[in-house]
Amino acid sequence: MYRYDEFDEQFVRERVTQFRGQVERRLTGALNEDEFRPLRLMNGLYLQLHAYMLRVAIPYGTLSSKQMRQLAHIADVYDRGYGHFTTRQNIQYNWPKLKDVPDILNALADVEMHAIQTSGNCIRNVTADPYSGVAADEIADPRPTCELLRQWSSNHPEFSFLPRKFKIAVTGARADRAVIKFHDIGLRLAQDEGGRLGYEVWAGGGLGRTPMIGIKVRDFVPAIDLLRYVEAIMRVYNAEGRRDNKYKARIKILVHEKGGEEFRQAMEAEFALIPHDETAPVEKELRRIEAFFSPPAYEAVADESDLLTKSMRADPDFARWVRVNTRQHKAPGYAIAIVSLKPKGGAPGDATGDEMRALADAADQFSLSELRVSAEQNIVLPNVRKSELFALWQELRQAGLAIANAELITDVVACPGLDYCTLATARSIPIAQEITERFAEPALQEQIGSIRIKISGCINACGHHHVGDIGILGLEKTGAEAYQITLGGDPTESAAIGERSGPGFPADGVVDAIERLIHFYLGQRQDDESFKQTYLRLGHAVMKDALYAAH
Amino acid sequence: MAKKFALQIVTANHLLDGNSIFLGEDGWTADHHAARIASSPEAAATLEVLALADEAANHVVGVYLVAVELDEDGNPEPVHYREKMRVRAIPSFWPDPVKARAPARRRGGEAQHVSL
Repeated sequence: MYRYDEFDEQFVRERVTQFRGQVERRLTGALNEDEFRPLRLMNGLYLQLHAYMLRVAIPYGTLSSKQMRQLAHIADVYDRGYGHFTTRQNIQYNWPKLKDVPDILNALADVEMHAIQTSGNCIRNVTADPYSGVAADEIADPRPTCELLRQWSSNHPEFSFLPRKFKIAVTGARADRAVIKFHDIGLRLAQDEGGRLGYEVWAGGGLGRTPMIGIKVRDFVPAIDLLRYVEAIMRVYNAEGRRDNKYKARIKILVHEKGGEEFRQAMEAEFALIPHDETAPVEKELRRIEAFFSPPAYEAVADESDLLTKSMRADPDFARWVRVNTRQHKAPGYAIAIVSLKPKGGAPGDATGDEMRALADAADQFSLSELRVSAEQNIVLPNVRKSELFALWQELRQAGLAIANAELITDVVACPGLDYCTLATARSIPIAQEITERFAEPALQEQIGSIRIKISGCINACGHHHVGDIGILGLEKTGAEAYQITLGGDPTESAAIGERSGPGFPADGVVDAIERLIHFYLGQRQDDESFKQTYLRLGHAVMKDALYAAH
Repeated sequence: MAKKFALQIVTANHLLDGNSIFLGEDGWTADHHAARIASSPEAAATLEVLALADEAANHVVGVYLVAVELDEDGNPEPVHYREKMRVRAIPSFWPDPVKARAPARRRGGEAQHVSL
């Protein structure tokens, strides 16, 4: 894992000191709210429906056990005993007091974390594949790239006042688990014919009120030119992105209004203007960062584990968890384990301080002290020996964290919605809770198979509803909450934006409608077809009718 | 015909903890039932001005008026579902009045009035 150098440490500590002064001045009235708001937002502090909310970055979704313990400590000491993991690999605390926030930021700095640029019109936390460095289908670990981008974009004077926020995601794998096609810039590590490492570059993707799939702007940019190239994109956006209308200010609007070809030309022209001699220090820094991410010393063990096979045979619940919640690791004899934060009736992505500590302990004992946060709001233990999966599962079960539902129907993604968020038009979490209860039966979940349900409580789409197989958008309709359903969305390399199905459902009708659709799918699917395959074969109209059958 | 005037109370967030508060007869309170009720546009404007003075004095943030109706006991309850959730002061799915793991806020237990 990356460790702060003196410069990083000083930068983060100085920011804490500055913010402490700003809070003091706010409390004495020397700063009014209009003056203070941009300062607090640059440090991740929002004012929500019931209280302040602090959004803390988890760079590229990677956490050490020590950092996870500190997140638990903050939850217990400064908040109400829990935190919420988000789709962009952040953690949000929902009840901090203004006077405590500088102390929280200091506690974060103690473990090399911060909340800088988790809000505001700047480059946000750079996200990555949660299986970075361990995925079997990976060309290279994307995290050194993310760390380079984090350092480059932190307090970048030219890009701190963009037309709107800017999100970058990076993957090193063939399968896209980082949602790169729906980011302002999406990067996929690639190799050219000579075997040189570089990036395939996507730009102009996004969700929100105008969902758009990014366009590929370059097949290959050599690694050494990455910052020049990203800078060229940022410059075109900074100069030409719309500042007159907040709702048209994201780069996706510029790219699609200008047209892909014209945008590409503007970008290439800008790229040509940036001197090559700026690349040498970048390469040196990238090498320095890469050293922190060299793979751990995996033990040379057989890929198959007798203990695992025996334990699976002996305990069907464990066998189910292994089937559903583990993924292939690049090293023989190891597995990637997903710890679901979607218990029956729970709030998706929430973890209590005790649960965070249990996760930290599990990471120390079984995963080389490392954890990841996924875009599905779950925690990943990236380095578990197959022979130790049973022991891990027992520990997780003790902590109530052995929920076997990764990527199944109850692994619902949901934004905080109107239960917390001041922008929301409807609640998200209670709908998610009802889904986890309605489809609680483990055998039924496995029978339904892999399916993504994603819920947003307003058109800003923090719950990524546009890219759910089933997307649920909470709106207000004649003074009550209403839920509009989209079908056929896909956040992966086969990216698709869900199609709207028709009139919304009332809160007490939406899960019934989903259940009708699921039963229709189970009756119609051929062989092992996934929900998406059945949807594509039968078409939107047929699936939509199933949703509305009882109307 | 002019639209019938809806009763109003005024709300804001407390500067220190961000909690939802309401302007009552004796200052700001966490209990919306204790809020001053404006029954005319002029009274609502007065209420808002009083609240904005506290915002200018950096005690509260985000002042706005909330339409209410009186329940059978004569207490003001918001008309809109968003505001109904906000006066509850906790997420809708937490057991009322407090979530077991979140003992910080207890309506009626702690001092009802917020000192500024």
